[in-house]
Amino acid sequence: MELMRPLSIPVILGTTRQGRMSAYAARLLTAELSKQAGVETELIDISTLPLPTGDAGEAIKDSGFAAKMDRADGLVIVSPEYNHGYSGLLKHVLDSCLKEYVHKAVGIAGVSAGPFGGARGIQGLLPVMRELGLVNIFWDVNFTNVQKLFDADGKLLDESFYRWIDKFLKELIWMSKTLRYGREHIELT
Amino acid sequence: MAAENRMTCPRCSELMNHHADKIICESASPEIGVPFSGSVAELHQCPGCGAGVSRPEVIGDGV
Repeated sequence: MELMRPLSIPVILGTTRQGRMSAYAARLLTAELSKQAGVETELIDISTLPLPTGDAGEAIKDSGFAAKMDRADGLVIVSPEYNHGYSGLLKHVLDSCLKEYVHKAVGIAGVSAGPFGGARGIQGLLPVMRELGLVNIFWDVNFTNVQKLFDADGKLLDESFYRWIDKFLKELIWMSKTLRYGREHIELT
Repeated sequence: MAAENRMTCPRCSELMNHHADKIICESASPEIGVPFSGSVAELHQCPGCGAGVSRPEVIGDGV
């Protein structure tokens, strides 16, 4: 399927913590996505978004973030695991949009200091993705033992991850293309 | 959806595709006897420029 317009697949860095190692994972995924033909990407760092806590949901929608979600054909979410769950601020940001996500693909990359690579946080996010109207792909990336996985400059030290990331991105791009075709051409009957 | 109810893209004027109906849970208060609380939004996407637009569900071919 040839696409006239490039696919838009931004990467959301889902934490605001100081010293967050997830930033290395998000930068790596953004760089790998930018190498893919026909794909436009950018890193969306939730720490740069206005995050009022006096309300929630679409009441705190940021027009810039909403426009990026509207334009997106797919999403990568980089989700660190904190106390066996995903970041509360990531949920706060995601909840600020809804219609913008419907029938779009999402792939989740988990990050943790332990051997499971954020798998428990990912499992918690899956039903949230469904309610937002996003379509989960069946590949994840699990950045395990993250303190040892990147050097101080953010360089990935385990080359075997590139093959895993490639599988993840290929599946995400396939799903993003397919769902875009569906959104634009297949009528709800 | 009847063809006459198709939306026109506000950006490029192409006819849009109605691809989803989504419950918007936050948009209305619960009502007795209604199986969910909220409203339904129709989602439309433009095959020309990719713009996405939503509108409240049109019931009964817009009548």
